[in-house]
Amino acid sequence: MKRVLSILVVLMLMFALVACGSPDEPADPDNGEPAEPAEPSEPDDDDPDEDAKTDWVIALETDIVQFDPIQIGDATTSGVAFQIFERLMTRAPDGSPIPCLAEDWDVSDDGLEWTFYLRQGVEFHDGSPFNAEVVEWHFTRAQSDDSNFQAQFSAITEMEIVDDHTIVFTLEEPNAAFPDNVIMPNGGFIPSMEAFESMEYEDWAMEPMGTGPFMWSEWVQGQRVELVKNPNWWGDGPILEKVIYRVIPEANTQVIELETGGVDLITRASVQDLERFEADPDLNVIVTPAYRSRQYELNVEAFPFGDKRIREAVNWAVDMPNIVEAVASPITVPSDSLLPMAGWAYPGEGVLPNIGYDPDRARELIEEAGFEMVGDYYEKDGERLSIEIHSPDHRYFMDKDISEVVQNQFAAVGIESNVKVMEWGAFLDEVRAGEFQMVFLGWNQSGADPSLFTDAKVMTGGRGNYANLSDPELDELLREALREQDMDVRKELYEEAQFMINENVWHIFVGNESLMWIHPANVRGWDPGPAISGDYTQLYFE
Amino acid sequence: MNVLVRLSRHRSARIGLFCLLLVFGAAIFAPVLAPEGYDDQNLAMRLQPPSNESPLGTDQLGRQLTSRIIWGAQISLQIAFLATGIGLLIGSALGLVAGYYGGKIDRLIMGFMDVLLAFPGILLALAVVAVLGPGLYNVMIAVGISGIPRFARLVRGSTLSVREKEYIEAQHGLGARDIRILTKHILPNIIGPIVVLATLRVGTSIMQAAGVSFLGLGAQPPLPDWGGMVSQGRHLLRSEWWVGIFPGVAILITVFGFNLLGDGVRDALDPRVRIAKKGDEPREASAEAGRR
Repeated sequence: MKRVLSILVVLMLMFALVACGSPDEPADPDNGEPAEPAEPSEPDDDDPDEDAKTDWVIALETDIVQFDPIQIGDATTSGVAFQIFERLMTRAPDGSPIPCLAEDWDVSDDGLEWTFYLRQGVEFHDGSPFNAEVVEWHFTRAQSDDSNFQAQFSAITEMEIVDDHTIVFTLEEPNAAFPDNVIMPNGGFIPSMEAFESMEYEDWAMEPMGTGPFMWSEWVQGQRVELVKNPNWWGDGPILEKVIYRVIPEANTQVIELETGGVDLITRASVQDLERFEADPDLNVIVTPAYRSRQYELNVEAFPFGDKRIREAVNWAVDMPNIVEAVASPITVPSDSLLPMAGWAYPGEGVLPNIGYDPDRARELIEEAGFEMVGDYYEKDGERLSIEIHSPDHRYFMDKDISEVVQNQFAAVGIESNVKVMEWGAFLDEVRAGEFQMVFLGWNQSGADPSLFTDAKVMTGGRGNYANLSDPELDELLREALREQDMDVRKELYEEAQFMINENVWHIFVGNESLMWIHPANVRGWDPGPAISGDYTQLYFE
Repeated sequence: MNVLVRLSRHRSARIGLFCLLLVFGAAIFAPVLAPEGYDDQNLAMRLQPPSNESPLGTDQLGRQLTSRIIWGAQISLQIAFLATGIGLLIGSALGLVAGYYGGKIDRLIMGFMDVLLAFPGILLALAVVAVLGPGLYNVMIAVGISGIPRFARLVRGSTLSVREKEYIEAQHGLGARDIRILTKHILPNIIGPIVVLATLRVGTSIMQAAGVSFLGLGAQPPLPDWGGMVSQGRHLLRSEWWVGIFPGVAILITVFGFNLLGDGVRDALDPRVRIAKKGDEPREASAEAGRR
């Protein structure tokens, strides 16, 4: 007994020590790592070139996952991978494709043959050459069953290596979104084939080797990722020596770190903080409309949303434009379509069939569907009209708050609901498995092509179609829109598609979330926009 | 009776009682006291600072914090008593058995309790919630379980000291069954320390439950759980401080109240402690009470 007690005392002491030690950690930006270069507290009048800060520190909400491009499925990893890997094409600030690893390309008149002329003399970070063989290998992998992007790249039926730096892709049918797929972050990122062949898969996936302006250097799990400048990069730059990502889940902590110089870039802040930042001459705030839609998705295979009347009723029951206006303005703007309003396929406000706010109409529809009011809530055959709302917390702007208002407005109509807030990873597991009734989700793209939204979210079996939505007529229309080359006709087809999507009432549309960047005002050479935001090659501190 | 008189004379116990009267009053009379329901949202009145209309301000969904805190008292007290009750019942039973029978049973039970004690209470509670899933009742169970080893240790120790007394031996001699001895003769003689620990435990339970709720694992929205409200308020702490501060103050008052009362009960039950009568110098009492 005595021995047990003494062990206990030792354990208690250890816990006490650990408890004493932990509060210091968050305050120490280095987390026990070798010291960072000093923050720019010196006056910048004398010889800025020598004193200028050369590391760019970015706050991340979550840690990275893995770097096999064909399996990256989260925005955090994608952002880091963007620095390390490159694609055949990239985007100009206006969203149009411009050369990257391919210097030029041709399309045959029938739209079926795409010839890419690859940049010569490009090397991966491990020294292996970039050539047509690597491109063929990568896109073959991207077509495999393991790939998240199988649907997009299975459009390629044949790849022919003409010479070391020329490759011809033959498509099954014309595909207007093909350049967007090649550009798509993650699937389009081309990794080193030599590294893949010489390493164990698990190691390779955690030690990304690309051709990009920055190279993988160090990862302290849950703390930070460090990238260093690639001195052999083919392009002009980078000027920075290091790009450092720090994992700071707490929004408030991010804000404080930004204000004290611990990080240089945050991409999320409350409305109140934004107002303060905008008044601060030392900080730059950029807010720009983006291709980022937010909506509640209704699982048509789960009770009670198999019944379209109930799907309509929950829409009538919620005054979404006013909720968004009150809670999430000005970052999130109310919308009435799955497609982002900033894109070319959105027909304008009020054009699409729209469900407004009318609690009485909601009650009528619920009663039509056979429910009866028992006490405060509707019931049918003893089963309560009860909805669990899966909601992330601080993943999307004001997500949980919006969900709480929805719950409140549901209750006013007689729909019982509860908000289920989970840790992000567990949340995604349940949502991807289709284990939900109604879920708050967002869909972000860097391109405006509507197929990036429709084909992923509402096409049968689409890669983001977690609510099991399916409408064969819509599928056919979307395929036709993809084959069509004439932009005016495509716009019409997508307008029709949006009509069909809205008439199916698969969603409660929330709005479009703007992109936001907040950084010190002395940052130069960086012009983020919705199409391309991660190009740090010309960035420097003045 | 004597104990109650002593308690009523104990100065810090009186302060504690006063705090608790506030909290219990709020919990019992919430439907009368609270001007609004706890989920009455008014999006036009978001994040209003404290004023005459909204005495403690409003939160990010325009709900009155005054009303939410008053309703929240029900939840906090519910958690506190149920959680403490779970720890008290199971822990005391285990402690009684371990202390009375000794030997292998004792080693087995107390070995297991020592393992549980090795984890800080909040960590244990978190582990249990992780297994059970978030929710109000799961938090109660989790916090209750984390209290079991403390009760078990205390009761076992007290049982050991009483077990060898002559009056227990007399019962053995008379042929009384174990269950009778345990419930009729041992338990009443060790009830004092159990009551003290239970009172102090209530405060700890509230703290732990608030901690678990703060991490988003407690009562789910829109229930006005204080810990959850503090958690929501932390995002606004630098601009709309009242959203997080007032629920925190509510937790503070409640826990403070239970701790003071617990101290008072301990002193009242301990005949060695002199408690000042009215008019006496109160310092004397607290100096003698000291800390054991």
